[in-house]
Amino acid sequence: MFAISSIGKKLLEKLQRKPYRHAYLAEHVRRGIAYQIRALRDQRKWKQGKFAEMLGKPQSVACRLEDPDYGKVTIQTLLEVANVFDVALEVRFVRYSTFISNTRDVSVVSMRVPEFNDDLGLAAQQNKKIANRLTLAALEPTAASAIQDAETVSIVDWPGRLDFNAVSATSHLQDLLALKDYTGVSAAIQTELLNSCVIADYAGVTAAPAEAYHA
Amino acid sequence: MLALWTIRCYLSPNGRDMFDDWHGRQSDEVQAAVAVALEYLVQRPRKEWRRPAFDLLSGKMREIGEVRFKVDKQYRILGFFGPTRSDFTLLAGASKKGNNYDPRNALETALDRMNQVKADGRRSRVCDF
Repeated sequence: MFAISSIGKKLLEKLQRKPYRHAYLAEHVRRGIAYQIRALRDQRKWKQGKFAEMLGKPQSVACRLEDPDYGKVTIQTLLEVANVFDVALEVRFVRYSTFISNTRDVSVVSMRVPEFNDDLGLAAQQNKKIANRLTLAALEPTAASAIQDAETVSIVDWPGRLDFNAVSATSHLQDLLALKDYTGVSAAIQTELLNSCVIADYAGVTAAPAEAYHA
Repeated sequence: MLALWTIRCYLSPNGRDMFDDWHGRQSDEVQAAVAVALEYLVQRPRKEWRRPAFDLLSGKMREIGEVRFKVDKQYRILGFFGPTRSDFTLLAGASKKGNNYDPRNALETALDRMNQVKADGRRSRVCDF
């Protein structure tokens, strides 16, 4: 349920005006698509040229897709972009409260989406199982870990608190264990950890102290 | 929402919010574009403030940055990073055609206002869109 208090009073007042409301919606949709395409490309560490090549279009088109002022992207193009990133696309009409709620977090992290293989692919499932078992069996209470809906493994008690998707978790866990005491980690778990790194694909998030955001 | 930046607005010597004055005179479309452009920027680290949504000027204006957006024509919100480390202060709004700002002296106004805010942090306040 959406809490009205989560949006500014001034914004709520302005949304009562139909022209403002419609312009606000259009601006969010245009800007959101442009920013998310950039975020997805950055997540995959692709240059704009590579993205254009994968899309089968000139680089000028890729550049336009990342321009919040462009605003003429078609659903067909969005589907092609979704296929290039191997992510799903959702286009639907919703009530304004849902829209406002869904657009409160427009951070870079919120815009990242794993490709299918890291989401529902078999390797991802295998890694999730391993990460869950490692976290539960070996690292507690050393790293006070928590598993969030089997998709994200959070390791607290570590500089900056790192959140990893399960695919990358095993390689990070190996780093963690390399620096920490192996007491309590069984030989079987250690072997599994090493084996898992063969299939673990490093795609982790780098933790940065808050000051770094303003540098 | 994780805001990494506080957006502030320049205040004139008699305490008037000069950015809000400009903003209030704009159409609903421009006002919405300002709000949304800033919503995205405040949730981004400094390195993500880049073209096409933002650009730093050069030469004697190098401390001035402009938030860029288009609503029928190009608009610029001129501001600077400060007075404190996590602030971005809005100094002036303008439309732009080619190399020309409207109002024409928008850049000089922004530079002068930035110096006033730097000299006295009370010459700005947190603004809300």
